[in-house]
Amino acid sequence: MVNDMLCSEVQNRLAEEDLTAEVKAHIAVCGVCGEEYEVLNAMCLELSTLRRPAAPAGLNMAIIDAVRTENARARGRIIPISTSAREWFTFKFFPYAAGAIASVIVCIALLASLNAPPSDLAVRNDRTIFIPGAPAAVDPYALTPEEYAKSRLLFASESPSINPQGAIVALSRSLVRGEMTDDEVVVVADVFGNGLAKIATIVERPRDPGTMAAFERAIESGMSEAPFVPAEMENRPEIVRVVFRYQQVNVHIRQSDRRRS
Amino acid sequence: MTFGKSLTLTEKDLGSSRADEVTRLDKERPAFIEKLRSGDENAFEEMVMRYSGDVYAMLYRLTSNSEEAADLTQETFLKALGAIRNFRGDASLRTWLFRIAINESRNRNRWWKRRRRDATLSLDAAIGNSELTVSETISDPSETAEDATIRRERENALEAALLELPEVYREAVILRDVESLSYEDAAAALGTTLGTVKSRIARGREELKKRLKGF
Repeated sequence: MVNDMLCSEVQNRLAEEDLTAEVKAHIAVCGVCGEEYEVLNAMCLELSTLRRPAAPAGLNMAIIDAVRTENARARGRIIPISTSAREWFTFKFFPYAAGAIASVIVCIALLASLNAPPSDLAVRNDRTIFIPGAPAAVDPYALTPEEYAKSRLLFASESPSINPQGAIVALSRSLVRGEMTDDEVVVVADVFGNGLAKIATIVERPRDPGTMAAFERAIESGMSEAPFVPAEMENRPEIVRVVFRYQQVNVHIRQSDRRRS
Repeated sequence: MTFGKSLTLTEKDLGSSRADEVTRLDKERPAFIEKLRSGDENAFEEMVMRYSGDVYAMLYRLTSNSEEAADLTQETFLKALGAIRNFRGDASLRTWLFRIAINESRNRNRWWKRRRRDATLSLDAAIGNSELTVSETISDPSETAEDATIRRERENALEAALLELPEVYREAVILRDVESLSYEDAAAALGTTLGTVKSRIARGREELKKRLKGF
C-alpha cells in the first residue's frame, strides 16, 4: 500500500542522494514513482559510463614545456611576483596601457596644437571663422598634416597623429564657439593606413547623445576630412588600435578677462 | 517490479573507485606532495602526466570544445604551478586541480560572454568527442552495430542535454555523476557547501531527466 506521501512530492525528491525511509517505502510500492526512480538511476549510470574524451596527442608535452618555460622565467626574475598578479598585468593591464598611453599622447599633442604660440594665433584668430562640419582644409593657417606628423615621429608607431586638417580637429574648434558642457567619450578605434578610422567599441558614452553622434561622424569621416594623417607620413603600421579619449571641458572665463581679450 | 537501487549502488561504488584510488595514492605519498610544494620540477611533471587526462576530460565535458579544454588544461597546470606552495592537502590533488580548472573555465566563460560568443553556435560543432577512446576500442564484442548506434545516439543526446544545463548544475553533475567525486570533494572543487552541492546535483539530475524525456 502506498504511504501518505504524494507521488509529486516523492518524485521531487528522487534525485536526492540520501533518500529518506519514507520515500524508499513509497517507491517500493508505487509503480509510477518506482519507474521514475528507475529512469533516474539509468541516467546516472549512463553518465558514469560516458565515453571518456581522449586528450589531444602532445598535450602533456605542451603543458610540460609551458611549465619549464615558466620555471625558467621565474628563476630569471629579479623581483618575485605571484602568477596571478603577473597574469593580471599581462592580460589586463598591458593591452589597455599601450592604448591609454597612446591616447594620452594624442590628446596632449592635440591640445598642444590647438594652443599654438599665442602671438601667431592672436593674429590668426581675428579672421578665422570655423564652420562646424565644414572641411578643415579651408583654414589656410592650420598646420599641414606633414608638419604635424614630422613632429611626432617618435611616438607615431603606437599613437597615430591627428590630422590637423581633419574632422576631429574641426569638431574641437567648432565647439569653442558654442555653448559647451563638460563631457567625455572613450572609444577603442582602429586607425587605418589611409588615415581613416573605425570605432571598434564604445567604452564610455557621453551624457549628451548629440556629442556622441558628432564625435562618431568626426572619427569615421571620409577621405576628405580623414581624422588621422596617413600611415606613410609617419611610418606607422597599416592598422593601429587605439584607446581614444575625447573630452570637452567648459572653461569659465571671467567677464574682465573676456573684456581684456 | 524491479528497481534500480542495487544497480545504482554498485555503479556508484564502481564509479567512485577511480576517485578513491587517486585520493588513496595522494594520501600514501606525503613525500610526493612535499616534493611538489618544495618546487621539485620532476614531481610537478609527474603530476601533469598523472592528472592532465582527468582535468582535460572534465573540462571537455564543461566546454564541449577540444581546443578550449586543452588550453584550459594548460592554464590549470600553470596556475597550479604558482599555487602549489600553498596546497595544504585538505583535499586530494585531483580535487584541488579540478577546483582550479573550474575557476579557469568560469573565468573563460565570462570572458566569452562579454564578447558574446554564446550568441552564436556553429552548426558544424560536433556534439561529443569523435575521437576513438579506450572504452570504444574495448567495447562489448556481443554488441551489434544497431545497438552501438543506439548507444551512440543516446550518449550524444545525454552530452547535448548536459551542455544545456545551467553552468552551476552542469558542474555539479559532471563532478559527481561523470567524474564520480564524493559529495565532499565535489563541494571542495566547487568551493561551496555540502548542502549547496547536494541541492545542485539533485536539481541538475532533475533538469537532465526532463530534457531527455522521450529519448
